[in-house]
Amino acid sequence: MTPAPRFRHHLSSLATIAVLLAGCSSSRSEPAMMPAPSTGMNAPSPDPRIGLKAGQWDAGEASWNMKLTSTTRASEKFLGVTNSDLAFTGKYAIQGNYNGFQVWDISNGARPTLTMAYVCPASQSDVSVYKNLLFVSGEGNTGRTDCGIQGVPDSVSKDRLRGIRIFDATDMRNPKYIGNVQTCRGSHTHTVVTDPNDPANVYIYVSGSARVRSSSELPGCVSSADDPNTSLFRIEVIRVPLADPSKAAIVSSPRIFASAAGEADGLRDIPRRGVTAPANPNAPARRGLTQCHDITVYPAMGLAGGACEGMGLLLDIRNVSNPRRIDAVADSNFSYWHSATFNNDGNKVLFSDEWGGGGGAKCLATDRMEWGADAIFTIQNGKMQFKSYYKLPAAQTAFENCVAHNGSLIPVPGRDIMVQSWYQGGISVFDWSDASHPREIAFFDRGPIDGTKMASGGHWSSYWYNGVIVGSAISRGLDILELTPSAWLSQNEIDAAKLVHLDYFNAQEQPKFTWPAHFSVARAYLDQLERNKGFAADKIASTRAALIAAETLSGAARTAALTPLAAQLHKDAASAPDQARAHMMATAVEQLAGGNTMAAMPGMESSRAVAGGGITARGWAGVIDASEAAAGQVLANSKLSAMGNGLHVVTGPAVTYWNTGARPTGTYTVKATFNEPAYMALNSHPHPYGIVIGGNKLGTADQSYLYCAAYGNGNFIVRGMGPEPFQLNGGRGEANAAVNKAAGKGSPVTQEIAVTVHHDRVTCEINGTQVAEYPLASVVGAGKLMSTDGNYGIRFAHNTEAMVTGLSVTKH
Amino acid sequence: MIYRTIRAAAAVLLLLSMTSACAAPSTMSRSPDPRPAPILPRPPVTAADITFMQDMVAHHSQALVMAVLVPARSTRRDLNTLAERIIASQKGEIGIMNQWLRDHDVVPDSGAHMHPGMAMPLMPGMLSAAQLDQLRAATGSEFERLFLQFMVQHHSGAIVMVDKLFATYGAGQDDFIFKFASDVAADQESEIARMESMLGAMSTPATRP
Repeated sequence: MTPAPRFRHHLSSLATIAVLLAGCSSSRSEPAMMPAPSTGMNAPSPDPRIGLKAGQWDAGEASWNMKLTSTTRASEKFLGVTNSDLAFTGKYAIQGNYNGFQVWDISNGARPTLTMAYVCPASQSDVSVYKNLLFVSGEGNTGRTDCGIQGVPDSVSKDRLRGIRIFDATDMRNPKYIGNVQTCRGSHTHTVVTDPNDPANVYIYVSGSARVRSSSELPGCVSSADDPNTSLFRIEVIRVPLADPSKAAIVSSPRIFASAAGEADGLRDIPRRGVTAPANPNAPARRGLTQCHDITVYPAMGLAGGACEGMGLLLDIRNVSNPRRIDAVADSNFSYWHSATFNNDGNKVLFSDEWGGGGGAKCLATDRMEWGADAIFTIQNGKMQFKSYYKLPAAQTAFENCVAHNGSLIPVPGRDIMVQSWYQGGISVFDWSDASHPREIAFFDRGPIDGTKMASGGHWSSYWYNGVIVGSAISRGLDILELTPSAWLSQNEIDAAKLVHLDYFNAQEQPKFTWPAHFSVARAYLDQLERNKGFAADKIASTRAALIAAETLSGAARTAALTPLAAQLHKDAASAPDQARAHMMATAVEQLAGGNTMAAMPGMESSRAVAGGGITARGWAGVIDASEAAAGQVLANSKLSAMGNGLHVVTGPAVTYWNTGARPTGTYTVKATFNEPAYMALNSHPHPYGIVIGGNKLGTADQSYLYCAAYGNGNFIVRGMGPEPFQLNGGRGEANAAVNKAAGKGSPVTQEIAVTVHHDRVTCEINGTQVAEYPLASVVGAGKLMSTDGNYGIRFAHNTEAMVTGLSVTKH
Repeated sequence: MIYRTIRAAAAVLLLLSMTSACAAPSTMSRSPDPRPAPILPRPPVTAADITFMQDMVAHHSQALVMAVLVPARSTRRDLNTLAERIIASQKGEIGIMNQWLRDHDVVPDSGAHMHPGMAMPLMPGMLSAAQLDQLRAATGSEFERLFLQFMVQHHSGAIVMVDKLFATYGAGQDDFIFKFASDVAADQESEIARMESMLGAMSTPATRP
């Protein structure tokens, strides 16, 4: 054989292979194996999750009512090492990994990009965020205080880190490791808790499920359950001072299992579902549960759900550093209480059972549907009442680790819908609005990683974040998925869910969802009423038509069309089969009617014309809202005058006044004190007033500006025009303890309001407390601010009076 | 020499194409699609880790021997549920441990360790041959009480084994071993609490002084 032909032969092989490889890379984002989605009322049959082809990268995929947008492999030093939990802030998803954590920019869901990967081994590397801080859990024996990869072979060592790591992630591309807090059982999971009465600090509840450390390694740790100072039967509360997070320390170790008599091991005799015999007070001494696996807090309700190994706890967390147990449940079908999720109304809680710890195949056809499942409880008067179990309805193979795991609510108004990971069982989206009859409405699944033996993988967690579902795939990387409309979830309901914008999200720290005034919200309720036959079909049809017509109108004409519609709908709701939902729909229409005015409050009230109105203060200009102008109002119907060193404002129509002098640029603070002499004296409901920044093309059809305003009832709102109104914290703002409350109608109330433009974000401070913070990217751009450089001024809702003093601009 | 290099490169490329993200045509015969190996060095698996897994297989196996006795000897629903889940749980974990041992080139149940029902050697908490006989011979409420007592004893042994592992130099550094051992301890602890609660419910004041 001569060399030449062989040479040619190999070259042609290379070319063929190159073509194959090129073909592969271009088709990666379009999984060829995914069957056409089924959209019917019934789940596809046979279940396409059964019999999927195995593979690390080319496993078969099945989905129903959702679709995979992208799969991005973990980066080099993390690939092949367990990916764990997720947290979100702004455009970033932070993904824990047993080797550290990775930060993904997910602004383009089809193509997430790696912002940074931080090597600092710890299991499980559960992650949370708060403002500029990033917290990471370390529990395993391998974690080192110096982030080294060599492990800690000594059973007692000063190098070992078991607890919470704290990073300053002000620059997400370059997080700085600023400290840690060591705990006796390490941190398996942790929960960020904010205290409305303590804005200078953030708190962390630490749950550790591993063995207690030796006191030679961490002084004070006591492993004996019989010692009164035992490290068991408690959680740890860490206080993190925002001004100096490196000073974070344990402030309390609440004994949340204690009996009324004060025994630390106080939860031994809780009746267990499925066990009928009563507890016997003369029974031999025995041991109850010793620790929690995970705690989910719901600060808006002052509640927490403690998933504590053998039991589920309901905690009152209004005193953040001293949570108090209000109820506990046990269940003979539950093996290991793993995590909790409240519904948005806070009157239901779902606990998951991570039977077997997540490494086992617990979704076999032979495994009971009530084992390794979710248990759903209603909460009434602080008592949990069991209603049903929910388990992934598709049996998995013996090669797929599968059990209930991490998930979050999807903010569909009027329904309790959750997305949840089941490891290699995939992702299941289900509706638990009816606590007794939960039902799957969408799913995504892959075949086993390995078709010959058990290999751990699948989705650790899948959470809804600002319109998409982000999944942490243990052996692969990051998946992004989207819901698709179906008989079980309409496009309007998906659109309404996408209206809820969160600045950051930790699944263990549940935010209360509120929906802005939007046509999708009203239509979502209408779709639900059609689905459950909760409202007369002809009325649904006529309301839909009326909404379409109203959407073409603007300003006062829209308000005029929607106000009587809302009133009629409320009237009709009284006789509807689903009265509650019909009223929610009517209220959504009512909010739309007010949605173009600043107040956006239920109960319409027309703007007055202030006698002797107009602008008499020198150096000031103003513009009233478009909706006011459309209703025939003019700028002269509100009044701005100089009073002493300050300004005096009395509205008429909702108005924005700006100073025509210097336009602050770069980083700066605009601040003033507003004194409302007689709260609500000129109106029937509270109205806000506050500071305007970033004014550009003011008074024109292209104007843009941003304001932060306070109500005398303890609420504040951050909103802008771009040139259409855009909301940053909901149509009616949100409550904050820093905002002063008037003693009552006619009483005076004073607020000091400041808006600060930083190099990367905008914040609002009320009475010295930062109440809101938005990344620059979320306030500047199409439909929002042209720039934060621009005119400053003040903003008033209609029919309100206040004195403005100390108005100042400080450049940084 | 050059031909050999090119041939090697072609082989590597061919391998790459077979293991890449995209699906090879299903008609093409191909090698498996393996999980990527971590590139950063990981703390090593030690002899103590391997011994722990072998011992725990033996330990778990006895729980199966005990649990299968329940259906014929007790009609209590909660006890039968408990036994059914102990069987499902420990069988699953035995499978995981054996797989791990095979992955680390250790032949499971190699003869150095007992098979279910064998009397020796005993891991912490395991029932002696006499205790097993006593359990087999018992019936009714006597069996139910003994079963729970013996299973509490049995499970407590697993926790002793985990604590011993973590007290050993270099052991439990592997992420899988740490998680598996911690889960075993946590699961057995919570099952012990459950069984003690059941025991408490079945004791009557008359049996106590």
